[in-house]
Amino acid sequence: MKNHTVHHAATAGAVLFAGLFAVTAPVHAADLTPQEKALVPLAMKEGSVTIINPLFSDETANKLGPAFIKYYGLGNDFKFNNLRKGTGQVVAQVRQEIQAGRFTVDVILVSAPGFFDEAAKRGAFEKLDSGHWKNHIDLAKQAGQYSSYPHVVVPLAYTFQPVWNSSCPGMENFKAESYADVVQPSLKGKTIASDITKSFTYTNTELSLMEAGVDTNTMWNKLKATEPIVEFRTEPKMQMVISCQRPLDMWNLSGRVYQNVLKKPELAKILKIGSYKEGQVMLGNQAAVIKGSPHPNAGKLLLEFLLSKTGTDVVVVGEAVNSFLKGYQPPEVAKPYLLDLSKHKLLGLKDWVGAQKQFKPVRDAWLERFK
Amino acid sequence: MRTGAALGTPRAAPAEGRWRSLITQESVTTVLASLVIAVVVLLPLATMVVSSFRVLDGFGFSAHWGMDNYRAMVNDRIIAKAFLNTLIISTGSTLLATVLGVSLAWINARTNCPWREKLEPYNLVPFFLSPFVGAIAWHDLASPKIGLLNAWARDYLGVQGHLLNVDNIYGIIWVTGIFFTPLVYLFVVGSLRRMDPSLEDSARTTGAGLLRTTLTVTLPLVLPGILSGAIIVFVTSAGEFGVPFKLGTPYGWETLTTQIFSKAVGDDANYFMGAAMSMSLGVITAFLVWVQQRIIAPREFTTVTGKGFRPNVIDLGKWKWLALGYNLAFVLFAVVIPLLGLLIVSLHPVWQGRIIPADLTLQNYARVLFWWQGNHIQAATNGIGNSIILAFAGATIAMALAIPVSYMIHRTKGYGSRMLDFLCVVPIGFPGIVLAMGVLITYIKTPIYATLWILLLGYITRFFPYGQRNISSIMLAISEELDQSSRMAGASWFTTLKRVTLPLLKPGIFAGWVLLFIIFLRELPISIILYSSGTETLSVGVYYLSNFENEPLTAALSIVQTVILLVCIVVFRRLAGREALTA
Repeated sequence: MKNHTVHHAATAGAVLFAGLFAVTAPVHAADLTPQEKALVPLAMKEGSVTIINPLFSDETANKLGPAFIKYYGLGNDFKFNNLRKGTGQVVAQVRQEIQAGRFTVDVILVSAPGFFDEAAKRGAFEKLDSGHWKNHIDLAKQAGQYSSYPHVVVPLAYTFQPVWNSSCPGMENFKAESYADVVQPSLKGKTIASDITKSFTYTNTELSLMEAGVDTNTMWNKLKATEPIVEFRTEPKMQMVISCQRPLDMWNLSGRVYQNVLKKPELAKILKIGSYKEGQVMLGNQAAVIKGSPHPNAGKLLLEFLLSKTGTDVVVVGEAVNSFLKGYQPPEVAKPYLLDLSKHKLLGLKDWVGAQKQFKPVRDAWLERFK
Repeated sequence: MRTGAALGTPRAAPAEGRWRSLITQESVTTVLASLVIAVVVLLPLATMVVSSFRVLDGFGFSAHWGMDNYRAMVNDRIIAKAFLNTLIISTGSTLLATVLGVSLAWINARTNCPWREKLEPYNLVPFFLSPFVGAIAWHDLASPKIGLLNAWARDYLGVQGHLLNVDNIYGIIWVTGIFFTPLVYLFVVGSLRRMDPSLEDSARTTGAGLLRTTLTVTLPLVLPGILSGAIIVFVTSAGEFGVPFKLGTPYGWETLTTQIFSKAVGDDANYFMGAAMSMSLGVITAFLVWVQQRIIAPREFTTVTGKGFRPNVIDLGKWKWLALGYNLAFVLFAVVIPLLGLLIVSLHPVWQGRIIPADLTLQNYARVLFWWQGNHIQAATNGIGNSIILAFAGATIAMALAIPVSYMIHRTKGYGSRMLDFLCVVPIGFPGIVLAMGVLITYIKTPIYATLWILLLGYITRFFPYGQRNISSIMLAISEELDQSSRMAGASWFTTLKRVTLPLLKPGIFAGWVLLFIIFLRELPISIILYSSGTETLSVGVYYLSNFENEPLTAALSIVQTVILLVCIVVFRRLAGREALTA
């Protein structure tokens, strides 16, 4: 997907979302895996589940919860809670709860291999017995993603792509196909620097690029010369792009474009999404059920749902993220926002866990330039 | 209840009854309330001191003892810069708020400026609103590329580029300064109203003009009030989080509070490092509050004499219209224009830096208000309900504690009452984000973690002194003889409290309750550290939308919060009268 314009997919998206929700009918018990069948009554007894993550918007959560409840027939009284915080805050809250032995969330979903590995070693996660993970493991491994079954799985992944507003002054003919394109001197006053000091995923993206031979030192120097605004969250960065405050963000999510197009369909004509020939860094979002959590069985069932085709559809349509589900065909409406993985060079890290040791020097060097 | 014990006649009590004579309604209530305050204030601070010496390992799961956090803090270039920025912002905001606050107070209290009585409540409105919302509003108005005022300047005045830019340290100073102007105003306006006019008359009879008299007599006489207000503004600005978070951090301007937030709950999420930074900020601000309380405040109101008098109202002649324009301009820039800007942005589905009439919609309001709709924002709808619960319960509990605590401070003598008085000052010196860190670390292993109770505790710990000071100021004015007469007539301590003391304290209790209610409705720094799923507050909702949604939704909830606060102010004024607002 290069420089494609996302045409009026918004209305279709809303319709499909509604459609998806409608078809998420309670499945016949025969369609469930044995593991799901065993978990359903236990989850019903627990009556609630809370997932903490940095990704799911309110719109997605408002669909995901009812779809999950309906799919397994958990009943109207069952409560689904989505707690969205920044990537660091997600890890911080769960880590602090593990240390304190006081648990308020059941499932954690975030891209933080170092944290998951360390927590799994400390026995902080429930042992999973998934009926769906076997359908994901091969592609996840091929994409070089970290997982640690039976404790940690990776239900989805995203990648940072260049996003720009072609209606802003000077951006009419802009195209982003390589990192050189997004740090050109002509972009002075138009760029955003993603604050890698506050994010695992930005830092891992830089480390992956470094491992792939991209000269990030030169890249940052050139970006610095464009006098970027430093911002962390993808949503405020998207706002800057939409309003022309900063018409180009070199690392945003195609899902954010999609979510804003839903709010105002005309944006589909002016918001563009590019990709990098140097390679796209796939950032798998690991997930686990926290040992000692108040609703461990409901947590395990939610993970099963996220790994199932139905759950994947809900998340892919809501957030335009990638799935490692074997043979998965994303719904048409989400396709314009998803990278065709077969047509792009995908990057990962040889050692996701070990990479965390490089966080400090990489971030210090970044800080030296941008703050 | 034994009257003898209450009247202090222990000699008459037999030795075996001494303990019983100590256990009275009065002593049990005051000691219990005092113990609660001591625990609530000291425990988080002590935990924070201890935590600041814990050093986290690379993965954040283990810790050892050491000075590394302090060493890292000293060597960290960003923290040093953040410290410097904090000083600059606090100094700038203090200067701005002082100039505005003193001049407005002088116009209102001592001149014949038209409409001055009508304008007074509007001068105070920024104090009751959220500075974070103010920052969002000013960003929408005066951000270089997307600010409404800049867009109009480009469209109608032909300005190239931008006219205004608040996305920097000057913007932080501007917003913080105008929002804290009422603090200085409140400290000064009372002194100006109560000043003996003969002091100024003496200067005028020796030939001094209006300006000279004001500069050489009036202002020096209210200097303690000005200094008190300035110190409080300096400390409050240093602890302000929302304004630099919105207008500073994305543009390279970090402050100590944004760094504490970043270090404590950012990606590295090092609470111990956050505790070390919090201690450093807390020590500085606590010292300044101590200076204000112990050195400057006792000098206040020395110009008030026992003589009956009416303060001079200075005739400004034609200049009175300039004074009126100045006051109106303050209200316009501090309240009206920012709110209008927010309102305009809130009516768009996405904000593209200009008004698009075809886009106007109320959908954002539906999403932040109508919890029954499928596409509602949970953090917003939860936040409204939770904030009202917290404000009501918090203000009530805090004032219930403030009564016996104030009683112990002002009606008993000795080390205990002095210590309690000191404890009631301590939280004022510690910024909200600092105390919240202490509360979180202290109570994370208890059942109140991730509930509304921990937020309630954080609020009461930080803001209890505000309510207590309201009661104290009235209690000091009530003679102890009234209590003693009741007790001599045979009434118990509780009966005396119920029938004599409380009715006299009613205005202070009410004013304190409403003040806390409003502060709790707009509180951000404590909530942002302590909230969890389902315990979001109004300000957390605004923060959430600002980070995870878009500018129009953020503006919509900001407007909702502001309307709730303004309604509270109006109701408060109706119930308590105009004077209560400046009490």
